[in-house]
Amino acid sequence: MTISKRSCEVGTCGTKRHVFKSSPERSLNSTRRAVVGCFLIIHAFILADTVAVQARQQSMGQSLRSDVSFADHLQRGFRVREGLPSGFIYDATQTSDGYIWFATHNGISRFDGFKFKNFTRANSTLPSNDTRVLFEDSGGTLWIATTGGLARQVAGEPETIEAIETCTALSAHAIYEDRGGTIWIGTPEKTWIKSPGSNDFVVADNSPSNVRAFCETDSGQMLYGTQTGLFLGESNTFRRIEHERLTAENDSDYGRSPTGINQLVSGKHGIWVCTNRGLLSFENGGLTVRLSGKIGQRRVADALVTRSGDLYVAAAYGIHRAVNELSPLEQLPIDGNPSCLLEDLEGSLWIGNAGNLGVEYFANNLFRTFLSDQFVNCVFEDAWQNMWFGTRDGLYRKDIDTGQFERYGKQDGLPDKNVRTIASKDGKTLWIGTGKGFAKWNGTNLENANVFPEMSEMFVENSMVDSNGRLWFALLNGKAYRLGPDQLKQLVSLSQGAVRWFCEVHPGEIWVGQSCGLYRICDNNVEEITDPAFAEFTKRHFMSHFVDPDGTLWFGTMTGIGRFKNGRFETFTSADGLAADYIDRLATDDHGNLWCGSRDGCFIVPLQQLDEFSAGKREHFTSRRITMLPFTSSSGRGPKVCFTSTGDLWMSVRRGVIKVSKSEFPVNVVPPKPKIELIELDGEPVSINHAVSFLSGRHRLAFRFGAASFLDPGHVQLKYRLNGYDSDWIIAGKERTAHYTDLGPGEYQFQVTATNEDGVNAVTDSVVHFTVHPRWFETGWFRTIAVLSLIGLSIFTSLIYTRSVRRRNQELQHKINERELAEIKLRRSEERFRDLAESTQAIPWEADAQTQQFTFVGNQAVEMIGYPIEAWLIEDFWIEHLHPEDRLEAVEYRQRAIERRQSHQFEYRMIAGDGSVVWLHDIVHVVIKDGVADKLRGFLVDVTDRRSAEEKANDYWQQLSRLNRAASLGEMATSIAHEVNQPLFAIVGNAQIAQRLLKQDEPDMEEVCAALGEIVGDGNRAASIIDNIRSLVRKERHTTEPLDLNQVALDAIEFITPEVRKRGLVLKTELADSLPAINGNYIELQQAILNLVINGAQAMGNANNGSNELVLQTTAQDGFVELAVKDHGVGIEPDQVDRMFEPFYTTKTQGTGMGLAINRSIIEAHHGRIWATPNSSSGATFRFQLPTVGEIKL
Amino acid sequence: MTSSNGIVFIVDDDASVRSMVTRLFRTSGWKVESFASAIEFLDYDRPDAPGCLVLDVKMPGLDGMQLQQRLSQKHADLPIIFMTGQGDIPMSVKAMKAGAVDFLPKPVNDKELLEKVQLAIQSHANQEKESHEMKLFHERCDLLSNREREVMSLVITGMLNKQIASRLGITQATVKAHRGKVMNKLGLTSVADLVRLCERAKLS
Repeated sequence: MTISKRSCEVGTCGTKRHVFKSSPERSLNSTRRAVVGCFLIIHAFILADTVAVQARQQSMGQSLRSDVSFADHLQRGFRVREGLPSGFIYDATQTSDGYIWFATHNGISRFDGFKFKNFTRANSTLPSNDTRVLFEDSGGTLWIATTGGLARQVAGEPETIEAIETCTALSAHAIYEDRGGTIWIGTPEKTWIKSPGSNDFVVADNSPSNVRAFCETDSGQMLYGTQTGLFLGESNTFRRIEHERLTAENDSDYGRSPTGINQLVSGKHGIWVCTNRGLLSFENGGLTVRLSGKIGQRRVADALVTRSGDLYVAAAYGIHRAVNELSPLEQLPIDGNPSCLLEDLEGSLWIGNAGNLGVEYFANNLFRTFLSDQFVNCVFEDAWQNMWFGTRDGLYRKDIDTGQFERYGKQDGLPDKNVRTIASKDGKTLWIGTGKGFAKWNGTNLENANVFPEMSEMFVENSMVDSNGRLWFALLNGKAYRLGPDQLKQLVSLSQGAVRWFCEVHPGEIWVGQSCGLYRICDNNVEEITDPAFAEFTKRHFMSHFVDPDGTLWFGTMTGIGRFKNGRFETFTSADGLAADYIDRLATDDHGNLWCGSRDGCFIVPLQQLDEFSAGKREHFTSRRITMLPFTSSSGRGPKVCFTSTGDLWMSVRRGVIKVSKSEFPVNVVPPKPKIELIELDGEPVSINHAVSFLSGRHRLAFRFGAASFLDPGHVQLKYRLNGYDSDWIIAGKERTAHYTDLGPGEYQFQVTATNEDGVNAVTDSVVHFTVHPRWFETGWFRTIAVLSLIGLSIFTSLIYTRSVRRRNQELQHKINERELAEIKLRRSEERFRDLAESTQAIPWEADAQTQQFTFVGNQAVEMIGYPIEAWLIEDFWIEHLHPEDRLEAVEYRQRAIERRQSHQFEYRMIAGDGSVVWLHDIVHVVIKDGVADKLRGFLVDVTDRRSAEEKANDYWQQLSRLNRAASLGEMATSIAHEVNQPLFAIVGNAQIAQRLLKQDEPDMEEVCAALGEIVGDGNRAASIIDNIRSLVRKERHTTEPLDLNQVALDAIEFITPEVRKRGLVLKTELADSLPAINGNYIELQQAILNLVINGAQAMGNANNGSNELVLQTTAQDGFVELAVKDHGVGIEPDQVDRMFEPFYTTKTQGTGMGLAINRSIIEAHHGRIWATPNSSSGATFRFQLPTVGEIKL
Repeated sequence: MTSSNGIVFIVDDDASVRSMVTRLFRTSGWKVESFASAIEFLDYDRPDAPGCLVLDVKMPGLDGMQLQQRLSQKHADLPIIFMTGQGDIPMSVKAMKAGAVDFLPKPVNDKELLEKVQLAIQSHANQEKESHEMKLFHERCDLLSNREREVMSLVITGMLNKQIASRLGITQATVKAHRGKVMNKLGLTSVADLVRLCERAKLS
């Protein structure tokens, strides 16, 4: 089904190019669809066909919901960086082939969700790059109004644009098609029209000049919005519609005509008139102010009535919305200077901005976020269906009846506000694990549960209550305990790693997941799980677990998922079909799906497929990514995810907790629209409309194609096939071009199809036909002659061949003699090499690549490390004598290198014969035989002295960087004071108000509560500011954890923004949508970012280059993430580039010369690199790169 | 405690402070309109009623002092009370010189702030009332004939009818008639009122 604009326009609207009016039946349908949507998504795999059928019936998405907080919508931004030709957007429209088009002041741009294709004067016949209006008529032609005249896209040729010669007025500002099919063009002087069937534009009689917007009224009269006011067309003339706001006497402080009309949009009550003096409504032949709100007399650029009937208004510096076109207009929390609005077929809202701000995109989201300013450690549902959340700042309870959040802190009986874990046997008595032992919720209030005094000093990480009511818990330092009725017992037989979870699968059978192994405890016997099916999992990080009602135990690790069912272990990894291997959240729902959370997003796997896979009935299973869900993070204690008794999903994420309501799972029902955009023959574009045909031969044929879909463009799957050549569909992946060479003669058909992220297939495939004609030598008669000549030739060749064999025999004999001589030479060289190997201070060695057992070790090993040679040759010598802290990493690193068959160098510690620790530098060459790694050969060099010197230097640097942090804090002291004073001021004020209110005879308790609530909020805000400062100056060791550089940057920005603002600068952020994780130290990286920003701000304080913008940018690159800070400051001289990272080197009056030097030490400690380059215009860019997890070279 | 038709306008970029100050005035019975930035306030269509602007000095974009400048350029005579977290003497002198009613350092005492705003709105209302009265007086003066104006100018100097008659060379009865017409046209009942209004009209 194709949605043509006309089919919607006929009837009620017919005004603006992208306004669709929703009929009542459609909104009813969409409501119903939201309800059945839940069912659909759950069975999306099995019922993909049902979804497709559903999609064909309704291929338009639900409009943006007005009943949820705007912040909970999915948001994306598009700027020049993403591919837009310019950030100045004048208009946007969606054509019937699904593409979104943007008119900018640097040409037009076509977007399919995946890539922008830009058309300018440089690559098309566009009359001017300054484009203003885009309009698709009922025949599917896209008209483009520019300040240099009118143009249109040639029908069926998506990449060809032609200028309209007959209507080359100076500029065009409005395009419209009335119900009769006549096209209207507004220019500064005249109005031009083109009747249906005619190809030429003529000047319209009786119409005003300088028309900026057209709209046909219900009675068929044309309404003209011009620079000088609003006019209504009558039979032979037109008359002005007066309104007090549209008078020339109105003072004009914006330099715009006070009488100017910008847009006309059909609405429920009449026609909305967007003017330079606010929003008016044309009803019953006159103008009124129907809705006002905060718009007042601000300029209104555009308005939009969505399919669900809501009105959106683009006013100066704000978007306003009136639900159902009724008062009141509310301003939405969207920054920018909006110029145009568009609702696409998927129901999402597009906002184009003037002022180089690009495009904002908002879509309905899957989830709601709660407690978004908190770090949520755990999620729990009690027996009364209340939800509990443990956070770093207290315990929260969401009441089932009121829906309100209630916070419990120290004053309510919690020993510490940092709530780590919640455990319960029956959901009625809850054990709350905190940073200082336990509290117990007995159904009505909290009481201290630290039975033994030492418990109040325990920093709890995880806990569980077993069926006997005994509490099992583990601490941050790795120790684990069991609390019985009258004893506290430490569990000593577990390994030293951190305990990630406890669970009781059957009564009396406790499982413990640790960072380095899985254990089972039955009747005080501790047993490490080393099942063979499970071998690749042992010693891995067991991050998450889940127990099914039927007793199946699931566990998530860094390398996939494990399952223990009916006494049997199984493992599932990405090679089998998991979307990710790093699983830190895990749960099954009651619809037969396994939900997984990972740092790369959430996905679900149908259990039925898993069972079939484990029974050997299928080779793979499929994961369905829920890309609308945010990423989780490895932090968070237990339990981290919870399906409530009502089927809703709660899950802790990086900040806050999200709820996916069972009744709101949406499906994108809009089928993607595949389209062949361009055909190139030997690099030259050929017309798609005309039948393509050419002679066979060494031709290069390329097809460029795309499929418009916007909700989740990254998961739209495109497939293509060249019928007559390809036997099956080819999955395009990220490619959008198919190349073919040397096609033989014949008839061909190139076909593209697409499937969206929810399995909805394209309704029609895009197809082109072409013919390849045979060349003269490919014809029948030529081939006959060729075969005959071939036979003659082969007889001749065999004669020559016998003669050459004889001569070759003689040559071989000669070569054998030479070889004997060479062998003697080789023996001598080997002796020399052995001499060298045994006398140098490096240990040469050789080992088997598979078992890593040494087969040869140089004699130096005895003296340098202190074990006899025979000991080295015993199996597992290397692994057993590695330093325990380096063991896992070193073995894994070598294993990876062997798998990649890559020679490598790395450093690690070994325990020497005398018990001392030796640092070794290992240089390894992988010997490959028959394509597999066969042997390892290498040298071990003792680098203990160098390492200890480095460690000393490191200590020194850590001290210095702490001083530097304190110094930069000093520089920011006034800003910090300001930041802290604001909430304190609000607290004092609110407290005074509450006091005064309470003194009144009938105190307004609601207001008092609100004031108290804000006191709490502001207190927390002040505390978190101070926490932030304290964490910066605290002395910390260099410990690393997986981090998201974006999050570190955001936290740093929050901290530094007041300081930047104080200097009159603006800090702009351009963060990548998602970054792979890096291993790093949070505080140090935050410090590095702060230093770069302060450095940039200081450089700009010394210069005046016109711009006050400081840009912080993050990008993901192959194996690296990069962060750049771009300033418009004094810039750098080429001879400074090398010196500026040296200590005490400074060019500024207020700098210490330490910031960049410390940055270099921080970044190098993270195995990254930092450098600076001068900008082409002004200032400099400082950037650093850090390797992503798994890419670190030791 | 407060006059119900006054409006307090609050401009502060910090949401906590803004909400607190809004509550303070709302619970004291004032009508309140709050704005997160100076631009928002400038764009706002302010109703024609007495009011007072409570303004934060430090804000991103246009700051409080710049907003004061813009308002005085537009001849808006709205009284302004500044609040500041980092107030210093030169800044407050500058603000007071530019016509601010007061300059209060944060944290502001709530009673003080309420009193100051009450006073400012009262004086703003009085000012508006007076300027209205003056406007009316001038309009009515335009209705007087030349002779009546002559008579009036002598009446307010305290001359008796007799003296005026001899000065202008007319009869006392004519002076009385003119005098009655003047009082009638100006809508006044006592000479004292006439004198007061004339004084003020001259002053302004």
